[in-house]
Amino acid sequence: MPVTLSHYLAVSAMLFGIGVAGVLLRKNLLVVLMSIELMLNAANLALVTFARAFGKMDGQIVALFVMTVAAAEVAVGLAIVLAVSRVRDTTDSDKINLMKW
Amino acid sequence: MTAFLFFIGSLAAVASAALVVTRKNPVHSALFLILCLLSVALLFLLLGAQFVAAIQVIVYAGAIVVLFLFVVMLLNIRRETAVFHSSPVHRLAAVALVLALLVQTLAIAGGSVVWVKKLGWVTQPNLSFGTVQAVGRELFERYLFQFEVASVLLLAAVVGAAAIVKKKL
Repeated sequence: MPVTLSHYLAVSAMLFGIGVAGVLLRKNLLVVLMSIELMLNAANLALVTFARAFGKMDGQIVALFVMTVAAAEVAVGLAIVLAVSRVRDTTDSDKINLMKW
Repeated sequence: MTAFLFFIGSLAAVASAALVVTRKNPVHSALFLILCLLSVALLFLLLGAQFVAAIQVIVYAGAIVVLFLFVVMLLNIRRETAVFHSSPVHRLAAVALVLALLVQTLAIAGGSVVWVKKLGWVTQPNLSFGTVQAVGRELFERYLFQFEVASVLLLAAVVGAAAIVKKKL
């Protein structure tokens, strides 16, 4: 059975689903950020798959931009986690649902 | 051979992604995230995207996960008692949402068999497909403006991260 577009897209869909589950279910903010990385990675896989399917490079270029955005997002997200844990001494998303106090 | 590598890569990617979400210790999650990113890099290679695969290993598995590990070690949090949210309604809703999403996306992936026949899966892309030269040419000719904007985004992220973490500006 030859490997086609659908197989890669199915893997991408599963990775994205696992990432969504992590964001919705986990309490630890660090693991929530990692799950967001999983979702961005699944999107990258779909983009590169379409680039291969159409024989054009554009999908790969957009995947590179997604990686750039992911790096920026992780830097700012981890800075926020650090700042919050300094004030509250926790990374539990349930315990930081108030803006003040 | 390609089918075998695809099978190995996708199985490792999905299994390690599931482990990222379910492990209690964030350090273990970060290590399984590396495994997941490396197996996706293998899939990129199978798709002929050599440069993207290299960047995936260097930037993602190399830099971003190391940043995660640094912060995990730096925070040194007490062991968390519960991994998942405690409210059963919340959990049930989340699982239902994820299952609905999976059904939809997998249906689209399965349906793509039809439009691939129409569009045609390029069986053998030309030799320079996905090389550093091809990506660089595209990046600096057609996507030059977007490339420059990406550099501004990175600068903004650096300034923002430093400003957030700094105790007093």
